[in-house]
This record gives sequence, C-alpha cells and structure tokens, in this order.
Amino acid sequence: MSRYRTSLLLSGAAITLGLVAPAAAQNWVPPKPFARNTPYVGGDMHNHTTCTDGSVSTSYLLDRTLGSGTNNGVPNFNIDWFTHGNHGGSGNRDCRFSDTSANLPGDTTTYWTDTLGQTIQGITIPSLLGDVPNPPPARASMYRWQSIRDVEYPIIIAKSQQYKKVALEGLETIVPGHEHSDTAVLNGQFPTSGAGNASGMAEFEFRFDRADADTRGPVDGTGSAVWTGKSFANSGTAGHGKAVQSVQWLQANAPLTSYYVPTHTERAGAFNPAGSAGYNIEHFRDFNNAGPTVAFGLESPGHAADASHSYGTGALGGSTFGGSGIYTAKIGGLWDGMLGEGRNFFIFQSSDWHNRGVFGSRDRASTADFFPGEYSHLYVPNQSALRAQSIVDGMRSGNSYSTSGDVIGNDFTFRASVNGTYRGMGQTLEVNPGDTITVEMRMTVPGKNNSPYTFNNPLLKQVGVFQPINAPSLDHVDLIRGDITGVIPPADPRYATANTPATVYNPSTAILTTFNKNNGKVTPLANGATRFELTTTVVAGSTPFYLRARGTNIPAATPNVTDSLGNPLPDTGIINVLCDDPACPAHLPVVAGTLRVKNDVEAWSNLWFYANPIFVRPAGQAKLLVETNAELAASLGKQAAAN
Amino acid sequence: MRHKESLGVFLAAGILLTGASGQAHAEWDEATCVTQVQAARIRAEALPPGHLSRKFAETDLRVAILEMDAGDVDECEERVRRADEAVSTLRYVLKPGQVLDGYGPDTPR
Repeated sequence: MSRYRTSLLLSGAAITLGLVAPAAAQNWVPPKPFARNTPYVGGDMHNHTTCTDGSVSTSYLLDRTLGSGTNNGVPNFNIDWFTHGNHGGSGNRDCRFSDTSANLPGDTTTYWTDTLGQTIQGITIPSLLGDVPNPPPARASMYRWQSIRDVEYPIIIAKSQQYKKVALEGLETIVPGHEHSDTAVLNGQFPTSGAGNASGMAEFEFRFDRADADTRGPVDGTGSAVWTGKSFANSGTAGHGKAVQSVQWLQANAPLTSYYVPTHTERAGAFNPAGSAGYNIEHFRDFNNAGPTVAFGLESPGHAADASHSYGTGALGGSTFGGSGIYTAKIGGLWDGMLGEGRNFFIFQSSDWHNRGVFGSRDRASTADFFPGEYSHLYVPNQSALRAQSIVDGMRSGNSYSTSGDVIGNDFTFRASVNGTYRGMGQTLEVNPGDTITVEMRMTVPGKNNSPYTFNNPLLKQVGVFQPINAPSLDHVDLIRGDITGVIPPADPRYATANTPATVYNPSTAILTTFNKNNGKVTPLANGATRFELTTTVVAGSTPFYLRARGTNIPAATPNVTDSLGNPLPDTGIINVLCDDPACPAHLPVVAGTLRVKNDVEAWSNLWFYANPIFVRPAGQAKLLVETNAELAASLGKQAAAN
Repeated sequence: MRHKESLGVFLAAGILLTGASGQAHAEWDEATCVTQVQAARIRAEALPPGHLSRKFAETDLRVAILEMDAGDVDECEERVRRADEAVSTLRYVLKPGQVLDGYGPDTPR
C-alpha cells in the first residue's frame, strides 16, 4: 500500500471518528444518471463561494448552477457538470451562508467562529483544525484543507444527488512562484460503495498551495501529523520547483484522476524569479513534462463582465483579447508554441464566478462575473453514463472546446479524415504525403443566450449589422494551421523564451481558411437557431502539423474589436464604442458624455469559441508527444483496471 | 458637468497627495491593505452617497478586504487601484432621476 493510500485511509478514519458527518456514499454513476442526448456536455471548473473570496454559499452556487427553471423568480443555469474550484489558503466566513452583499433574503455574513458546534446543513464543525488556537479568536479562519474536506465536499455530494448531475470537488490552487491553477483530485470522492471523502484534494491543497500557511494539517489518533514533509518554498524559482513537485505528486498519486490547468495565466505578467507572478512557456513545458497525463493545458480568464476581465495594468499583453489572454488569442503565440512541439496542451474556459459587482446575486446584470453556465461553457464529450471520471477523461483527451455567450452550442463536430479514417480534437491523423485531408466542422448557433438585454449588439452596429444582443450569431470560423517541429528539451536554449507580448513562439501558424456564410452551408433551424456546415481540404506534406479552430460573431476589421485578419484586438479599446441604444443600461461607463460598451454589455457583444487541435502526422514518422502521452494514459488505465 | 469635473480634479489630487499610487510598486502586506482601503474609502465617501462611481469604488473596496482575508494581498492592491480610478475618473454616473437597473429583484427596474 502506498504512503498516499495510507494517508487517505487515516484521514478518512479521522472523519468517521466524529469530526464531521461523513458524506453519503455516491457511486461513480449517479443513481439516476443525468442523460442528455447531445454529443458534448457543458460545465465549469472555476468558481468561488464564501469559503474563500466569493459572495454566495456553496449550496446557493450549486442550486443556481445545477438547477433548471427558476430559483425564487431568477433563472438557474442548468449546467451539465460542475467542478468546484475555490481558492486555496484559508477563509474566515462560513460558506454555508452567503455574504450580506449577495442580497439573499435571510442570509447574512457568518463566520466560522459564530457556528462552531452547530449542525447546519447536516454538517457540524466542532473546531478549527491545524495551526488555529483552541478556542479560536473571533473571526479566525478555517484552513482550506479542512473546508474542502469537511464542508464543500459533503455539500457537493448532496447537491449532486439532489440534481442527479455530476459534481466534484476541485480547487483553484494558488501556485508557488506563480499565479493560480485549476486542479481536482478525484481520489476518494466517488467510491463504488461506502462513504467518500475529498482527502486527496485536501492533502494536495495543504501540501502545495502557496496561501496555505498551516504547518500541522490533520492529525491521527495519537496527535501525530498525517501529512508530513510540507515545504514552504513558495516564491520565485524555488516556488516554481515546488509547483513542479506538486504536478509530480499528482502524476504519481492520481495520474488519471486529476488535472492541473493554470488559469488567467497572463494576469500577473511574466514569471518573476524572485517573487510570485505569472508563467512563461518554460513553466508550462516543465509542468507537461512532469505530469504528462495531468498537466495538459491552460484556462482562459473568466470574470467576463468585469471591466478588465481582471487583467489590470500588469497583465502580459496589457489586456484580454476577445475575452481570452494573449497566450490563447495570439496566432503564433504561446499556445501555438506548445502545440508546435506536438504537446498535449489544450485550452479551457470557465466562469471564475465570485459576485456580480455592484449588483446582487439575483440580478441578471453584472459588472464582475457570471454564474457557471450563464455565459461560458467548457464542453467535454457526453457519455451514456456520465460520471466524474468522464469529465477528467474528456479534458485530458483534448476532445473539448469552450464557448462564450453560447456562440455555438453542445453539438460541435470538428474532424479530419483521409480515406475514411476520421480523427477529432486531441487525436492524431496519420497521412501519407500528398494525401488530401478533408476537414469538416458542424455547429449550431442557438437562437438565444442568457443576456438580459435585447437591444442590438453595439459592436456589430458599428459595421451595419443589427443583431439583437441576446441572439448569438456566428460571423465566421477560422481554421488555423501550425507546423509541429518536435519537442524542445529543457537543455535547449529555445526551451525558455523571453516572454513578451511580441514573442512569436510558432511563426508557422496562420489562418488557413476562414469560413463564413459564403463558403459554408447555413441552415435556419427552429427557435431561431442556425446550423453551420463547413468543409475544406488540406493536402498533407511530409511534416506533421496541427489544425485548430476559433469562431466569433465579430467580423474582421470591426473597429476597436478585430483587426483586418479577424484577430481580436485588446479589449481595452472597446471603451471607444458607444452604447447609444435607449435601452443601454445605466451602469455602463460614461466617456465624453456618452455611454460606452463595457462590463456585461461587452461580454454579451463579443462572443468567441476556441476548439482544441487535431494533429496530423505522416505515417512512419515518430509519434507526437500528444500520442505517446495518450498511450501512457491508456496504459495506466489498463493497469488500474487490472488491479 | 462642471461640478463633476471639479470634484474629479479634487479627488484625483487627493489620491496623489495621500500616496496611494505612489505605493503601487511596493510590496503590500495586510496592514498596508487595511490602511490603503481605509484611505480609499474616505476618498470614495467624498462623493455623494448615491453617486454610481462611489458604488463601484465601494464594491471594489469590499472585495479588497475579502481578498486580503483570503490571503491575496496583491488583489487587494489591484482593487484599491480600481476604486481610486472609479473615484478619479467618475465614469459611472446616473442621470438625474435615473436608477440603477440590475434586471432582477436586487436592484429592480
């Protein structure tokens, strides 16, 4: 038995010895599996509550997210799956209650020290654990490893069962030496029988989160620490080393049941070897090398209704670009650099829900964030018996895409074929030089999204397009091609590249084809939806390459929004666009006496999707890293099944 | 509007004099966060209670404290900067008689 398994059992025992009520057992497949007959299911993995810096309780977040219909007259967002990705560290608010600022009737800010010993939502917290004096001082914080294990997890399991949907406990870890990273450790959460636990997730948080200052963690029956050997090297180059160790820990202990996806990766600027800031490409390479089946991508920023999408003056690139960071949005940029090595490195998007800014949580306007499922969706493949493992498997496979404002729905097809052999996102198509590759995309643009506004999209109005802002549209889809030139080893001088907004990591990357209504098949459907069918051919050469796709409602050369090639411009320029419809909301900023496009109006106006790549390799050539890492995952899966 | 412009100039000058922007590149700790939030709140409260820019600023300052409590002092600094920006630029303004519309029960139409 590994040391890891031992600690899981010990911490599980601590729970059953009466620290808290154990979470109810949950099979891998919920008792009445959620079944939606669609190719993909949309979810969210990055969201916050009063356990950290969010505004609503864990229960309320899950009710609004997983529920359908309305909640006391306000809409729920009926998401297909949910991973709770709250920060690491600690928090002094009891997240069984919402913050007073959330404006929920009867719910006021409550602190852990107000409720110790009380049973609330079936959970009793007798004391604050770790380095917290007993009795604790007023408004003392609970370390996150405790709230992950003893508060969030049981609530998530209860809500998963209530809504018959997949919900799991994750973490937005505050990374040593860096910004943040979405992660989840499924180990223990979904046993085939008996009570589950989130001790694996909690242990990861305790050991590796930069903001977790606790030195003790849980103790066994003799008072001895269960999770020993914690490092506090949290800054700069040493911190990065600890971050790599955290990925190695996941690879060793949860190679198929975890993920590690750095988020809002440009926000804190470039890496600072003497502090904690952003990530350079060499750090993503380090993570992917250390965790080939767990560190497989990055997440674009959320905070979609925030005036800057949380990207302040220190962000690399100085702004977001169509809501994405420059690592994702720039053709030939960092993402293409990773793909140019043939790495399994994929793009994801989630809400980063905290609050609605100047509005209450039941309002539909927002100057900060959207609820999970309200605006962005991370789509992974559906399965007949969807379960938590399906979500992690789907993300790892690369067969996923992300959308904002429902610019496309849950039935996206993106595939390449030669002689009847088809490969989709995350897969590799073997070809012979000279082969004609057929590339197909199919997608449905829904007739309506969750925008509360109905006036015409002010960004499109600039170019004479009058489209209701709550009716998504698709102007065009770019098929983007880049060369794959092989994995760069750590000793190679190209491994660590100067990280500036001007850096081109893969100069071969370019838009291969732009699809629009003139060269695609467009079919109106019921309820205002539209079906797009796009097909082209590519002749295979003698070297490997990849094809990825992005789409948007914004035409090329739209002032302040896109350049002449259709690339997103810095979102900071959108303040120049007037919102002059009489129905434009009053919370927009005023410049030179006129309302300007910002906040949620900007979000609902500027819609994008990003699809992960299909790889193409000439037969007989060495397999790409994306292939060998997929084979590693398959091999680990067989080993796990055999054991 | 002349009144708004002169108020904005006054508040911007106040921000410079109190040194908030002068500390932008220094490392903040929790004590700095608390001090700077208090100072920024005073600047926000110089605006009339119903001023929308004050509401934006106070929202950022509330979040600044939450972020500090959650251990993210960097975000506290960013929120104070944003609050000061809201107060100095006065970009968020309700016209006379206009009410904030949240399209929901919290700020009804």
